[in-house]
Amino acid sequence: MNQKLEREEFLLPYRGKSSNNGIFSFTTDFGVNYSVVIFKVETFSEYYFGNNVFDIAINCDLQNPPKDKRVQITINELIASFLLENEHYILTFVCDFADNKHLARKRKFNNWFKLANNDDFVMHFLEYQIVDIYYIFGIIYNTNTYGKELLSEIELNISKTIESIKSEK
Amino acid sequence: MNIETSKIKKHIEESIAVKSYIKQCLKENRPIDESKIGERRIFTPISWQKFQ
Repeated sequence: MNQKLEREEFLLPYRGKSSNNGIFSFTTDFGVNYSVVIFKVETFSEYYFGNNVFDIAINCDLQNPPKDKRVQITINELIASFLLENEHYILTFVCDFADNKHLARKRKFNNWFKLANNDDFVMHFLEYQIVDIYYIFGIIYNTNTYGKELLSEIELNISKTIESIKSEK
Repeated sequence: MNIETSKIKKHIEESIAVKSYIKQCLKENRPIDESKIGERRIFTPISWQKFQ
């Protein structure tokens, strides 16, 4: 193992605070402020997994924050500890495309996930082009609970959805 | 299991809109109005206490 990896093993997640309105925030060694919010989504409440669908939003107050391994570690730990609270939880997210950096966000999520190195969870990206917008939709869930059929079902239904959105345009 | 496509569409669209709304709230340092985040409720994981 090289020295860099050895040092990274000893990096700890940032400490943060939860505000009254449920936003978890932390400040990095570089003075960048991050906030993380999890939403319980009621949209699918009638389905068997429906009460367990959540959405995550991660924001930072700087457009181009410096690379910081501790941010990756912190986000990973937050996501992993959330998913471990209940094996039925499903976490979804959309890579924001407003500033045209959705592919960079996808890469970042991929790196975070690889770093977590947890075989109990699987992360998939579903990507669709609708006219001039490229949607990247991420989903993380426990494979011991749901297996691969959940993803196939969701993927199939998202494909149908995208087709219906396209036909409206 | 057959998920209505309209629900997935709603989920994706709301997710994008909510992200933008939260970003604005943080920028202006104002509280999140739950009536403006669709069929979503802010959820605070108990396990996150250990990060404080």
